[in-house]
Amino acid sequence: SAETDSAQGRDQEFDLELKPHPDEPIRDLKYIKAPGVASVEHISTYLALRGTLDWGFSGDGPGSSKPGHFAIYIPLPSGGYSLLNSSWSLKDVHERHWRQNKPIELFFLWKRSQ
Amino acid sequence: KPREPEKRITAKGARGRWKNIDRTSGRKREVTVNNVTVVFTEFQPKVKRSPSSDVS
Repeated sequence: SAETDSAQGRDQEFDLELKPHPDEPIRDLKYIKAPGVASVEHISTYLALRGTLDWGFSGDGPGSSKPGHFAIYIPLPSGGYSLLNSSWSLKDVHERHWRQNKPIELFFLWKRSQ
Repeated sequence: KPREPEKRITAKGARGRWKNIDRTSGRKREVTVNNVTVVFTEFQPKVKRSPSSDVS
């Protein structure tokens, strides 16, 4: 049931390794534990919030006066990266893309808004 | 028969194990998106200590 699924989501926690996408000039890693109900958008928002403190850029993005956001990618077994839907939860990401016994590797890339 | 306690169903293997991460350094921060608040715990890598050199 949805309630059980919700409870399971609340009980599950995931270890994440947030790494910079190859095209991302910021070269820093983050090790984060987050609940299964956290969405990709939560991760993007967290990076944006931490970026102002850890990487010294304004809320508009690294070195830019234009608004933007962090896009989150997951590596593909065949190589390359798949852009994650911002509405997906970590539980969704794990079930669809990361059924492995190790922390989930995610890659971030700052995207300027048009 | 006594009822067995309900087992918490967790995604086995979802945690994995970081290497060289200081698990005592965790700092919790709340993030709210669309009225949903979650708590992120961020950890720092273990600091490698270089061997101290004797100063004479």
